[in-house]
Amino acid sequence: MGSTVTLATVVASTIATILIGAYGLRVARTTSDFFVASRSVRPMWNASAISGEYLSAASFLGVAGLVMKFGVDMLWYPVGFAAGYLILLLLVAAPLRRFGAYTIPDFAEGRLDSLAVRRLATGFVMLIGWWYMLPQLKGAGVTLRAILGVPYWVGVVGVGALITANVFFGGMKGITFVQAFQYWLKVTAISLPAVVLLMHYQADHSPRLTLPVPPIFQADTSVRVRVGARFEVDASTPVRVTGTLDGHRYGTGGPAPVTLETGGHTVAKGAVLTFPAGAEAPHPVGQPNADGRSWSRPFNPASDERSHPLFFIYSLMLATFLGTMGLPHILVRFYTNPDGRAARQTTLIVLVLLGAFYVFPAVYGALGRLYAPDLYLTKGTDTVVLALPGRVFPGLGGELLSGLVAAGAFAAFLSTCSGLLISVAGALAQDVFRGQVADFRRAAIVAGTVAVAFGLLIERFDINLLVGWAFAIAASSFCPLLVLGIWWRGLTAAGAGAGIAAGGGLASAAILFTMIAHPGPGWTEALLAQPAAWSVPTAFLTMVVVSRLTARRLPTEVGAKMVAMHTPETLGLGRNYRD
Amino acid sequence: MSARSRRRRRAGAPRRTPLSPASPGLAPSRAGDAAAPDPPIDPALAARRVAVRNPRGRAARREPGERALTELAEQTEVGEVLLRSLTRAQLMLAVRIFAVFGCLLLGLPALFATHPGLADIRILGLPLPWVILGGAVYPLLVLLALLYVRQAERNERDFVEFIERS
Repeated sequence: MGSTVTLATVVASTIATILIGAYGLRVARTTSDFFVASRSVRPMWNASAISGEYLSAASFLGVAGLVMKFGVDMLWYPVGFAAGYLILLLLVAAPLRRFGAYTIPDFAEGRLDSLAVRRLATGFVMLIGWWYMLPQLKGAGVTLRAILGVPYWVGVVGVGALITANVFFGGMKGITFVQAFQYWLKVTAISLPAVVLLMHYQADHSPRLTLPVPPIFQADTSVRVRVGARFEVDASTPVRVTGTLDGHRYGTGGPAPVTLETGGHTVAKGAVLTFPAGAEAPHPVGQPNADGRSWSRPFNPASDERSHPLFFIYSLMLATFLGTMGLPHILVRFYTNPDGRAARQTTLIVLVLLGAFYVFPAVYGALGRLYAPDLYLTKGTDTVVLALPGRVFPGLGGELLSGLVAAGAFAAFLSTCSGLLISVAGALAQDVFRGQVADFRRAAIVAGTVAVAFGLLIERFDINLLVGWAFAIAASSFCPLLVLGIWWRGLTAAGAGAGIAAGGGLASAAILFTMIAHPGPGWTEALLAQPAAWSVPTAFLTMVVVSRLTARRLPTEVGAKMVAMHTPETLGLGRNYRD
Repeated sequence: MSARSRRRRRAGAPRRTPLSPASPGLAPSRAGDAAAPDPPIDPALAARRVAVRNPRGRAARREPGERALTELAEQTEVGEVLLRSLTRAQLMLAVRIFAVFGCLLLGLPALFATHPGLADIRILGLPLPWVILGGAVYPLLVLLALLYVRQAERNERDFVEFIERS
C-alpha cells in the first residue's frame, strides 16, 4: 500500500469523475435542470445513478470490515440496504413520481397544504443528509490514511472540498452521469479483485474458515502501527520489533527479537512488529478474536457483544427496510423518471444492480480473517477491502488491484456525499435562501462546510453504526409521512407534523444519548442504540391518532390528489402539485 | 371516515369544480412536458383553475370513456368508488408480496437464534446462513419485485381499459 500506482488510480478516477461532471455541465442550462436533471433520464441510467449514489462507504468498506470482525450476522446490513428498495417499490415509487413533487418537503407541502410541515420536513432532510454524510467523510479520512499515510483530517477536508466544488460547478445533470459511472466503477472495483482473491484462495487449497481456531498469520507479517494501541496476546509469541513496545525502545540497529508474553501490551505510534507465520493474531484489549467455528455462525459471542443481539437485528431490519425511502438523496432521483411506470422499472433495475454488488463484500470479510488478521490488532477492519489485495499479491499485480479498490472506495464516498450535498443544499436553497441557481451554489458551500466540521469529530464511531442511525431517523420520520400520505386520505397536517416530530425526534434523541453517554449493557442500551423498533411504530401511531383527532381539518382536494397519485398517466388526470 | 370525507368533499366542491371540460384547449398537458422544461405560464391563465387533461387521450377516447373519466376527475361518488377499486387492488398486491417476503425473511433471525444446527448445513461447501444472507436473498428480492411490477402494471391496464369502456 501507499504506492504510486494506488495514488495514480485514485487521481485518475477522481479526474474522470470531474470530467464527466463537466460534460454534464454543458448540458445543464436551466434552473430546473440543476434541480432534477429535466426528468429525461432513462430507467437504466437512472437505476445506475441511484445505485451509484446509494453504494456508500458503508457498503464498500464497512460491511466487509464488520463481517471480518463479527461474522455472518453483519450481512443483515447489506440485505436491509437492498430490501429497502423492495418496500420502496411496493409502497412509494410510482405514486410519488406521479404526484410530481421534487423533494420530500415539496411532497409534504403539496399533499398537506402546510408550510409548517414543509419546514419540519426540511429540517429533517438536513439532519438526515448531514448525518449520512459523516460516515462517508470518516471513510474518506481512514482510506486516505491507509493508502497515503496522511492524517485523518486531510481526507475529510480534502474530499469534502472536492465534493463541494463538484456540486458547485456541476449541478445535478452532471451528477446523474457521474453517479451512473460511479456504480459501474464500484462494482468493477469490488468484484474483480474479489474474483482474483477467490482464485488465490482455491490455489491455496481453500483453508477451512470454520474450524474452531482463532485467526493466525499465514505468513511472516510486518505490522506498522499508525495509531498507538493497547492489545492482548493469548499465547506467548516471538516477534521482531522496531520502535517502542511496553515503554522500551527496540531495534535502533535493526529489528530486535522480543517474546510477547500472554496478556496486555502497549505499542507506540510508528512501531513495526513482525509476527512469524503460524502465530495467533493479537487483539484489542477486551475484544478477543472469535474462533472460526463460532465466527461463522449466527449470534456468536463476538456479535453478542451488544446486549440483546436478536433485538438489534430486528430493529436494524426495520430501520433499513423502511429508512431507504426516507433518504433525501434517493427520493429526489425518482423524480428524474418520466412517469410512474418508469419509476417502477428503475426500482426493479436498482434491485438487480445492488444484488450484483452485495455478493462481494462478504468475500473480503471472510478472506480478511485469513490473510490480514493484523487488522484486528490495529482496529483497522474497516480498511480490509483496501488492504487485502496488497497482502495477498505482493508486486505490481497487487498494486494494480489495490489501486482499483482504492478508486472504488473513493467513488463510494464521492458519489454518496455528492448526492447528499445536493439534497441538503437544495433544501437550504429552496427553504432558507431564495431558490435561484446562485443560492443553490451558496447553499452547497454552507452545507459542505458544516458536514466537514462535524466529520472531523466522529472518527471513533463505526461507519456502519452511523449509517444505521441515519436510516433509523429516516424510517421514523419520512417513512410514515410517505406511506400514510400516499395510501390514507385521512392524514392531516397536524397528524403528519406530530408523527415526524415524535418519531424522528425520539430516534435522534436516543442516538445522541448513545453517542454521548454510552449507556451500560442491558435493555436500555439495546433500545437506545438502534431505536427503529419502537420509534417507527411511535411515529405511525402518532400520525394516525393525531390525524383522527384533527379529522375536521383535512387538507384540500384530497380526492384529486389521490387520483393524481394512483391513476396511470395515460388517463391524463395527473396534476403537478409542485406549483 | 368515508362518510365524513364525503361530506367535506361536497362542502368544498364549489371551490374545486371549475374543471372546464368544455374548453380543453386551455389545458396544457402535463404528461406531455415530461421531456421539456415547463413552458412559461401566462399569468392571466394561471389565475384561473383549469382542468388538466391529455388532449391526445381525449381525442382517441370519444364519448363512452368520457363519463367515467369525468367522474374520476371531479371525484364524484362514482369516481371515488372507481379510484378505491384501483388503490385497493394495488395495496392488496403490495401486502401480498410483502407477506411472501416477510414469511421468508423476517423469520430468519429468530430461526437462526433458536436453531443453531442450521449453521452446520452446507450448500456447495458454504454454511447455510452465509448462502442465504450472502447471495440467495438477492435473486429472491428481484423475483418479488418483478412479480409486483408485472401485476401492478396489469392492474393499471385493466383500470384504464375499464374507464375507457364505461
